[in-house]
Formats: sequence, C-alpha cells, structure tokens
Amino acid sequence: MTKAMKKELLKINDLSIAYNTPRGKLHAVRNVNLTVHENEVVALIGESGCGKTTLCLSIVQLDEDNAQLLNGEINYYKDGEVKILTQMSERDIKIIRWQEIALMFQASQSVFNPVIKIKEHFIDTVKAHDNGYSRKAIIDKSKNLLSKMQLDADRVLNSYAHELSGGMKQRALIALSFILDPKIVIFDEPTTALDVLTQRKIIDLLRLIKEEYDFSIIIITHDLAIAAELADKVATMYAGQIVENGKTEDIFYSPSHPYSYGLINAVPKLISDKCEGDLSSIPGSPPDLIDIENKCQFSPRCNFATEECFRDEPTISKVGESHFVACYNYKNVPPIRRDN
Amino acid sequence: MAANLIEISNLHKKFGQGKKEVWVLRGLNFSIKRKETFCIVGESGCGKTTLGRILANTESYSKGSYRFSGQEVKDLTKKDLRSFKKDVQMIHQDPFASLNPVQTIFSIIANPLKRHNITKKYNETYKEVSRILDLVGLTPVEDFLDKYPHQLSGGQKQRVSIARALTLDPSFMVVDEAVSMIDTSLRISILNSLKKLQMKYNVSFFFITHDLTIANYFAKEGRIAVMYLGKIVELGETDELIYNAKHPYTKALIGAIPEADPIITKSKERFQLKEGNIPELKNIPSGCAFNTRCPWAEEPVCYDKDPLLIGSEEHQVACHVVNNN
Repeated sequence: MTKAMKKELLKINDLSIAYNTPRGKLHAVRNVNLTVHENEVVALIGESGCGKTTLCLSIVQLDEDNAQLLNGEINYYKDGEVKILTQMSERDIKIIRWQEIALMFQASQSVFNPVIKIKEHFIDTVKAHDNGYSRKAIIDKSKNLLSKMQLDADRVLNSYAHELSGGMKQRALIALSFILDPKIVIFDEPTTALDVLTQRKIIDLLRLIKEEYDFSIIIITHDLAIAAELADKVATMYAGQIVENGKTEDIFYSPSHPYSYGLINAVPKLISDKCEGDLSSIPGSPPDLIDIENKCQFSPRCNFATEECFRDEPTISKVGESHFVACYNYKNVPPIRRDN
Repeated sequence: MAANLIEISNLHKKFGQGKKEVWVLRGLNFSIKRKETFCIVGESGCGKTTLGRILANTESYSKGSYRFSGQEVKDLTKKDLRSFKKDVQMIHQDPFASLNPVQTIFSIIANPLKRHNITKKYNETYKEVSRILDLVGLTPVEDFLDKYPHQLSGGQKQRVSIARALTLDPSFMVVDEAVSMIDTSLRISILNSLKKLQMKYNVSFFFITHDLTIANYFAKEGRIAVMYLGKIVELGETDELIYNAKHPYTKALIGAIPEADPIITKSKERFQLKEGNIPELKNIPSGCAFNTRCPWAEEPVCYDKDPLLIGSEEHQVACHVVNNN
C-alpha cells in the first residue's frame, strides 16, 4: 500500500469492537485500519470516549469481559511470520504480551503493588515469562535500564512505590516496560497528571531511549502537544473510527478532516500566539455510540458538512502520500495558519 | 471603596503543629484590582490551591493580612461574612465531584437564590434559574432543568458549576483548574464564557492552573504570578511575563512546555535546571528556596538571604541574580 522502506510490524485490519451494555451494543471501535512500522512512533489522538484505549487494549487482548470482537483482525509480524493476535489462545497471547508488546496503563502512578519493593516487580515480570534469567541477571538489567532513565537505580529498586515521586514512578514504569525488550510499547496518556518539568523530562527520556533501542511506540493521548513532540505519524479518532491518519507534519499543518482541524485550532499556544482570534471550540458533543446512524458521525458538529454527510458515512481513503481521511469535503478544509 | 478588591500582605499559612509544622505559604504580597484576571501558575504542591481556598475563606490563614474590599477577612462579623460569601464564589477543579448527585440542575442553581433571599416566589426563581443557565450556554434551558448531574457531560457539568457560582452575582471568583479535566475541544469555549461573564458583570478572577498556555490565553489582559514552594517568584503582566521572563524557574517552565506544533516544539529554546526534585516543604533550603535547582545560584547571597519580590508595577522578580544586575 505505502512504499515505506520500513517493515510492517503490526497491522490492524477492519477491526470493530462493541461492548455489551444493558442499553445495547456500544460500538467503541468501528472499522479501524492502522499499520505500525518498525521503529515508528504513532500517536492516537482524540477526546475521552472515542475508543482509543479500547483499541489499544485489544492489541494485547486485555479487553473487558463485556467486549466483543465483531469483525476484523490484528496481525503481528515476527521473523516473517504472521501472528493473528485476535485469534490467539490465552496461553499464546501471554507470550506476546510484554515480551513483544508492552502496555503502560494510564494512571500508572498506581500500577505498582504498594507492599512489595520495586525490584520484585522487575523480577516477577521476567520470571512470569520464564526465560531462564537468574535473579542477579534480572537485577543487573533493571539497573541498566533505570540508570538509562536517569534514576538512582539502587535506591529505586529497594524502594516501595510510596517512597518515589510521581515522575520517578513513571520513569521506573517505563524501565519496567522495556525489561523484556519488546518490539512495541503502548503508552496510554504517558504524561498526564505530571508536572510540566517532569513531563519534559519524560518526553526527553523517551526520545533518548528511542534513539538507542529498536522499537515502535503507540502513544494514546488527548494532548496534541505530546503528539507533536514525539510522533512520526498521527491518527485522529472520533466516535470509534480513525477519521484521519498521516504524517505528523501533514496532520498539524494541513489537516484534511474537519475534526483534526477543529482540535488543532482549539489548543492555545504559548509562543507565537498572535492569532488568538482563531482559537475556537468545536460546538456540540460526541454521539452516543449505541445508536449509530448511517451518516458521518461528526456531521452535526461540522462546519463543512454538506447534504451528503447526513446521508451516508464516509469511508477512509487516500488523499496524499501516506495521508488518509474519511471526509467527503476534505478539500474544503483550510491549512493551519502559521505565523512564524 | 478601596482601589484594590483584594490586598494580601505577608500572608502565611501553616499546617500541623509543633514538630509536624509545615509552612505552605511563606509570605505572599499582592493585590487584585476590580475586574482583573489574576492567574497563579505553579507545580503541584506549591501552595496555589491553598491560596485559592484562603481567598475564598474556606481555609484560614496563620499570619499576615488578607483584606477584601478594605476589610480584614479574619475579623469579619457574622453579618459581614454572609455578604462575603455572596461576593466570593469558587469553581472547583472536578465537575464530577462538586455537584450534588441527588439534586436536579434546577435545585442546584435555585438553592443559593433561596438561601440568600434573592428570589422568593417559585416563578421568580424559575425565571432567574433559566436566565443563568442561558448565560452559561446550557440551552435549550428546559432540557437541563430536570436533569441530574450524571446525565450531563463533563463540559456541561462544569457549566453548571459556573452557573451556580454566578447565581449570587459575585464580584470575585476563585477558579481552581476549571478546565484541566475538560476535553481539549471544549476548553476554549469554557474559558471564553468565563471571559464574557467578566466583561458583563465586572468580576475579578483568581485563576489557578498548572498550565502556562491556559494562563496565557485566559489572562491575556491580566497578570500572571508564578509560585514556587509557597512563594511568588515572579509576577507580571501576561505578555511581559511570557516574552520577557526573568526568573530561572519561569524560564524553565516556558521552555519545557510542549507546544501543539511539531516544528515549534522541537526547536524551542530550553532552559536547563540543575538535576533534582522539588525539595520537601518540611526542609526548605535556606536562602533562596530555588537554589537547589537554580543554575545561576551564587555564593553566598543565594544561600543566605531569601530574595524579595521587587521591581516595577508591571513586572516583579524574586531573584538575587536578576535584581543585582
């Protein structure tokens, strides 16, 4: 499809997931296609409830009990072999999880078990995957990773979670997610609830560690600035669908979906913010994902909507070099004004 | 009538007693004019929320003075206190927790009106509640009156909080991180409605946030104060403070904030601080509290003497290095 030089690592094909709720089926993820290449950082942006966390949970097959796979599959490529994650048995997926694909949850501040030391978390994680490491080897490796995260490794390993600050816990957790050398790490809101200076530190460290090791990252975030900082590719999600997908520069400077356009125009900037008047919210609120009508889900909130948009839901199509969008009127969406 | 709505001088606040004593506010001096927007920015634990709570009189202060409309808040009589509570309102950070879940939107807005005898008959109350909901953009009003908070989205709940704060026609509002839990696409509209209300009703805002970009947007015509460990380290008119930041801490904050623009954010000038975390409030370094992280710290002055917040009306800095040059 794309003439990317890099090899494909993860490919999500036409994935749909629904939650069974008392009111009916809640379509949290709808016909999502997404490819992650080797050594690539993909950011999933969108508002709360748009399905980004559901999508990522399904990659490691950790969906809630009431989640149901409606159609589609997730393929993971390893040594030229295809593994279909959505069809794997619990035993097989356990091998993939953390060893191949690690997931760092949101609110990671509370991930650590409060009654065991940090080092036990590292040991437990490795032992659970049973690859014959000795305790000493694990500790050595953890120390190495922790010092990469610019932490005092000995102190952190022998601490309990409550003895560390928020930023330190976050960094320890990033180190923990790398302990088995995964090929993909999924970060769910990696810097929310952190202070500005701590956030900066985490961003810089992620970039640093990215240069050193070979792996891909999927970042889930509602904060566009984090995507702008780290991502090579950005996918905008709305109402369970990926409505736009492209290179970071394309999305930020010439978005083709009215929703991406609206989001970017709703974020104030600190420096070079001379175009204050241009900032505006997107009116209205996202649709209920239980009763989905056959129309563009964004149309009620969209300034560019035409009759067509209310008749039929647009599908995602190619509009430029690795730039895809699901909108009938994408040509009418103006580029973002830049003032420097 | 005093020129300034709020005057704070040498304000201190401690929590705990004896050995557990912790000073969270350590000598604040500033004033807020009528109709002014005053933003306070700082990292978690710097004391900004405590200060907000003191200004709303939900927390007492330990030392110093806080005058509201010329009156010392500590010495308010019961009767004065009642009108103070009418004049000063607070909007909380978490719209999910600050609304009573078993009351309808109508009762949430109507209760303060009845409590302060602003409206008496049901018809009057109904009209007033509708007017206020309309003001904050919850329209059509009839759709909202009988709903409960759980039936509203986060943005709508925050609007109800704003509406509730407006019922008593306050002259001063303490807004604590009001948009940090709101989705990006709605933030601007909440901030814009607050700004609009300010124009219309001459309200002063004390706006608490950890996000300088939000402060910069909201207080474009106002002032921003940067707080570190219970002290204001820099205070200035918004543009002056952002484009001409002097204190190393402010510089570091401005440089560290990621911007929603891939090129700008990667080419932004950073200001590197010394390694390390914020010291604990229990053992604040002597001299300038920032000296453990400051790349400019000079012997001996920064380690012996606490710097004062000095400068012009437009821009004040508490830093020996800046103020001595």
